[in-house]
Amino acid sequence: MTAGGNLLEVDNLNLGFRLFEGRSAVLRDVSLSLAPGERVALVGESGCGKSIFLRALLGLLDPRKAVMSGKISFDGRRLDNMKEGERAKLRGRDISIIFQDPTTALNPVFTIRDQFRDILRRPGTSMSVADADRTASDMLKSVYIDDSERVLNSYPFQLSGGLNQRVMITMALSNKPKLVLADEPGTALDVTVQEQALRLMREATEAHGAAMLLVTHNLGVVREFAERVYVMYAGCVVEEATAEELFDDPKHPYTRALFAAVPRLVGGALPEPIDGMVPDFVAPPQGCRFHPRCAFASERCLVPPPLVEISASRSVACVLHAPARQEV
Amino acid sequence: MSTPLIATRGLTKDFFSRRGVVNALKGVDVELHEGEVLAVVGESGSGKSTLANLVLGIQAPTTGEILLRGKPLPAVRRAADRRALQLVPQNPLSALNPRRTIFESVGLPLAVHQLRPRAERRERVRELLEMVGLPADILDRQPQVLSGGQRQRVAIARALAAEPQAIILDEPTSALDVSVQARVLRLLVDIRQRFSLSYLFVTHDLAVARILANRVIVLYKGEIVESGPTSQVLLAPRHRYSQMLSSSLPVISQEEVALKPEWNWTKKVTAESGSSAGCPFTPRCPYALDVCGRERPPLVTSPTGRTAHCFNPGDDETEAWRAAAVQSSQTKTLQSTDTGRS
Repeated sequence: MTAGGNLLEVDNLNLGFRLFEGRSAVLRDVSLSLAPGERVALVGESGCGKSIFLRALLGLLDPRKAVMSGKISFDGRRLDNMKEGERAKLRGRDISIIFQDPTTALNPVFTIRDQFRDILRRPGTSMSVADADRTASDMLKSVYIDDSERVLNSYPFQLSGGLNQRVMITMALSNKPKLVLADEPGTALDVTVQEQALRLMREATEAHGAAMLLVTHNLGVVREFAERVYVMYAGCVVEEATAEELFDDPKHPYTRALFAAVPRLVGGALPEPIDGMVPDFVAPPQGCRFHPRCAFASERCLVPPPLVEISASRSVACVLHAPARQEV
Repeated sequence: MSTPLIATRGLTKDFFSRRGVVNALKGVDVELHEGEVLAVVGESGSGKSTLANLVLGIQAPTTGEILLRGKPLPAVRRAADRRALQLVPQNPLSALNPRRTIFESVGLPLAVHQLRPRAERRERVRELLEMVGLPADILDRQPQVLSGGQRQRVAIARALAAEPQAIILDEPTSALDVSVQARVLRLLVDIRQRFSLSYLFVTHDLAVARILANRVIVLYKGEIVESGPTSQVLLAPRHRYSQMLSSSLPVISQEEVALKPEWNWTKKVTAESGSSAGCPFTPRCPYALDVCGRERPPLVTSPTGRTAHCFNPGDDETEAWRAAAVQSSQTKTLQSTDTGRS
């Protein structure tokens, strides 16, 4: 997996924090890649390290507390040891983020117009105020906001959640970034609005050729949005597959458990809970971090299972799917 | 039919603010029968939480009344009536007093309603916690040290402590992870059977409604647009709004995608807001007819016991349905008794 053409390449990222209770180990050997224009989802329960991973990508972690090793390259440049000033130039221009709750992510004391101007006329660009306004208005129209003037003159709290979400999406895309990160977009919204937001994100990323990394706990959202999926549990990638393969035949016991927990529209079975809780990162379980909650666990699980490629597009980190030794 | 456990008659609720009046509920009739689980679904702002609050007596209705076993409940309720209806809130962290231990929170209904003498309360709380699958050693702990799923179970134990006849569940699982949600849903199913309770279940998630509810009402902007048995409303909705709700549900298999009703997401609809004399959903409905903006669609009841306010539900039965709708709308106009709803 050393494809040179990847937009984002994360290689064996380990991340921990210095805490009062000791050193936590959140991410363990996370590797992930994204091709230009690709839509990838990272899925897992809350507390699995998904949002921390996004923050690590953006360099938003407190450097006094975070302990990081591994490689993050974006567009051929190393992000992990980049100077903060350099990274700040990338953020918002080449990499942008759509947050979970648009009503809290937008600044309540500025109008949407002011916030668009801030983004479009960021230092180092030379767009005029009039051009910025026109661009903002055009972009809002492209996400089916007809009365863009009214929206631009409003404060976020004067708009509905759905409108705010659309504003967020357009803002994230307004500088034509190469990579858009989305942290549980739409979870704070109604299903109808969420559905529309997903459609817009798909259309918009396609129109601008942006790649997108979507973080979510909702498998239904993954199915609708992503081409490829990484399943994360307790800071480890446990499975990687194309969306089609994953939904067709989930392999890792954790992935299977996640699927079984979703309320379905068919069948009479109740959703199946997953026993136990996401572990504490200060003292995570030895070996496979899922083994204390896993129905198939054995002693073999006490050694960290490597992410094994089981087909060209698919890897699983589980002893159940590891090739037998003699075959190797 | 027997007297419903809870019935509301023409319930309306207006909120007044500096910017004007918000009609949160506009004449809602709901019946919850003994042993039934009735789901109230709708988007935020549809009035579903307001409905729950009115039924619980947390807020007083502007007009209309709430009947408990056929008896109208006064604005200020007697303790016995309060005890009969209990709440499981959406966010138990804000609903459980952080200064109280779990024992104090769950034991409070026992004291308020004088269900157990002081000496027996601790034992009873322990029993209640066991019923919801919590260990007894959390008795003297505070809610903030518990996980989200545990807190929700504490809230359920507290509701059970009052030995209610019905529990009003206000989005009980929407703040939880899927794995934890599954556990709470199972618990709710189990408890209902064990104590033959009725639930009024407020949710925005139709898939969750399907797990628990026998019957569903769909609220839109403070009005019931459709009601009927869960599977029918979910998989073959008669109102366009229910269709939109159902089709926006993210699902995880092709099988389920095939079940969801079709929805035209690409057709441009007019502005998000804007009220009219007609169906409140008209501005967002890509299938709206001319008549939808002019006239309020009457309540049409299908042979299968489903009722919806829609002129143009669009499937095999559509023609017959539309004819019935138009006819009953005309009759209504002729009689000029358009004072409300049938």
